[in-house]
Amino acid sequence: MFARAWSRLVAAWRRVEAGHDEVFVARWRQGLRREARRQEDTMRALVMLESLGVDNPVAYETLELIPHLVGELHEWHQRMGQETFGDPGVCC
Amino acid sequence: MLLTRPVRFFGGKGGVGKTTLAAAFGLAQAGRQLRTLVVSTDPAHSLGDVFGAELADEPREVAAHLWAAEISGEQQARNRVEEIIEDAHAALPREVMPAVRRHLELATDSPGTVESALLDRLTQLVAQVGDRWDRLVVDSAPTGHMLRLLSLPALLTPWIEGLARQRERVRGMDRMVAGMTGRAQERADPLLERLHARRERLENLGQRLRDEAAVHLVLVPELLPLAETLRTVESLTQAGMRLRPLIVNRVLPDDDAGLLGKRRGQQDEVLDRLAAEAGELGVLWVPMLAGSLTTGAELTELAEHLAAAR
Repeated sequence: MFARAWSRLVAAWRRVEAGHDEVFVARWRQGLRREARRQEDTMRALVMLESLGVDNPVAYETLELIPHLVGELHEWHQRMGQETFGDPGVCC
Repeated sequence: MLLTRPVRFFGGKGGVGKTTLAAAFGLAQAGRQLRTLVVSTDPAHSLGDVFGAELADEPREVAAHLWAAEISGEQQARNRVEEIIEDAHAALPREVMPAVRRHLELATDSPGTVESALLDRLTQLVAQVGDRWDRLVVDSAPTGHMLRLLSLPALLTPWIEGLARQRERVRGMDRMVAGMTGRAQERADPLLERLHARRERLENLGQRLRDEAAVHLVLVPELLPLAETLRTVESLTQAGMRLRPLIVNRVLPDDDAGLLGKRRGQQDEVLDRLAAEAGELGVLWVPMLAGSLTTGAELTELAEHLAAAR
């Protein structure tokens, strides 16, 4: 008797949890992902300031980050289904 | 704390004799059986002329226990770009390589890159002190340039720290999202590792310069360089750099009855003021010498006048 009531309670809790996740967490997750991508773009812009025509005081110190950032950009536009991206010289 | 600082910078306005004095100082150190490297960072190199030898980026033996090199920021930046491209070939698809090269070339055109690259090369040489060299004597470019070079570690560190924090935020958020979906996996981030390595390298250099380097400021006994030199003393002290007594080069003889004697009268005024303003730092006189100061014997004579600048 007690055991059945307990398992029903647990099942109900799970349903509430799932509903909560669907309504709140998924949305939050999406927001977080978007924020992460935005921060990543900021980083890319900071390291590649000179391609935007802005002087970068630490250009030399961050030189070795450039291949990684171009690589990430390349993976991204291919995931998005574009074979080539940007003017020649931006990516490929 | 080291009693004798193994890294020495010779700085001052253009044309005051920094290069010759640095060479003479290096020669004197080498004469004490200390493996000494004299390196010029001035884009308009003249160290090779003093030693009468063709110099390049790689140190070359010019006398017993004495090596010399002329380093260049442009050359170092070019080498670094090639290294990075070499490494990138392994990790990146071939079609993005032209873009990588273009971005790298744009980045090396940024102002400040040449100085950063020069500092990078200097860092390599400073790292060899104690191992390959007992003394490293740096003949710096004119004052402003040297000040900037010595303050670069302090200037660049916060910027790199900011970039690293930015990157950590992205990683933190990615981790949080991954944790929620239950597929958390820790992966090393090559960007973050490189940023941290870069910051550490700069911090180490800053620390080594403060602990192991000393600056000899050189000036000629005239009124105008005096004010600038005193300003430089202040900036360097603020940056935590250790200073050695000011070297007053080309002090005229006071026993000359002719033109030089008269000029010496004017110099005395400056020398008095300098002695008063330098205070505890102290002043070292180097007389004007007759020779062209390009032979070993002449440099040795000069080095004897510098003996007190230990």
